[in-house]
Amino acid sequence: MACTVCRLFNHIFTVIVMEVFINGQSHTTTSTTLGALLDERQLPPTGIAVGLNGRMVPRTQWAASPLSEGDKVVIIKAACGG
Amino acid sequence: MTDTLTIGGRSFASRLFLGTGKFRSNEEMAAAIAASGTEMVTVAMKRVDADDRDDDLLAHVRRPDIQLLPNTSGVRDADEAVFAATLAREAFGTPFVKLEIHPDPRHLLPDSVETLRATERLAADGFIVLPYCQADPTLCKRLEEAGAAAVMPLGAPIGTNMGLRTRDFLEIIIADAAVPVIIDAGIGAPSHAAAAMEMGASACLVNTAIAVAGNPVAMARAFADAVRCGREAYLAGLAQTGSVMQAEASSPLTAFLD
Repeated sequence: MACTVCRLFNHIFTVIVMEVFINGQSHTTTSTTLGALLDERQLPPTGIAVGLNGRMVPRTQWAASPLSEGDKVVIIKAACGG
Repeated sequence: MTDTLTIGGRSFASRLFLGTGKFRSNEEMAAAIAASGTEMVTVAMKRVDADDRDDDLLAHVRRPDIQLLPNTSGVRDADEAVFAATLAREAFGTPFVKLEIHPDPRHLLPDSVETLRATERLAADGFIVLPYCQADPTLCKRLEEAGAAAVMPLGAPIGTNMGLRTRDFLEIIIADAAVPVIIDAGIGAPSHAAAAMEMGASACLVNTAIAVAGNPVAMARAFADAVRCGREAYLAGLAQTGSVMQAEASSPLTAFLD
């Protein structure tokens, strides 16, 4: 009985830590969605875009996009160029 | 007489397009944009770092009378170009894209095969695609058939200021094109831009020649005048070029002194 309680406790409180790559840099996170990951950064409300594993993810879908180990996230903004 | 250029359903009164690279400051860039009277301005993309504290470029270029033309500079193939274009559409809220795929950093010459592939995919996805391309008349027709809203053949390699080295091929492209032809890359002096417009080019895209000029604001004005002047000459109908072996008098040759 006690073991069942322990298992339940572990199930609830085990924090999943995974490694993702943001703009090519390794990043350790407990976030399970793209939205939570991006909340850690204070991104401007406009003028940026986010890609996940080579596909653009609209801002409206960040919260519903699950993250997996090794995911590659890119965040871009405007730069000078011809 | 109204002489407007239309690309992707938007009209442009100015036929001078500006790039935003290489200016000494964003303020100088904004002043040059204003002085040029341009209505189309390119922007590139870069990664947002965690400690990003950059000045916001868009604040300097986003105006109601200016169409942003995001480029895909930095991509190596069609897959990356399509990804970059979708990021640009999300970030800047425009379907316009200057498609540029130049994987060789030494020459920065566009990869024609990947450019054609990406043009097909982006046009099918609703983008207004302006591909930077070789001055290859056959390729330009293929890009047009693939759905390009305009073609942007190069006059000379990017940033070289060497002028219209591809002149003969540009003439063929202009003669055959059913979409606007914008001369991009290599235009180094207002006289080059005027020559391109006299040939019948629809517009010129200039960056380095203005950005690194001693006085970019004055140079932007000079380019605006040159483009306007060249366009007016084209519309007026240039006189035919003759031969050095056969002069044609413009005054009466009848003797009047004896």
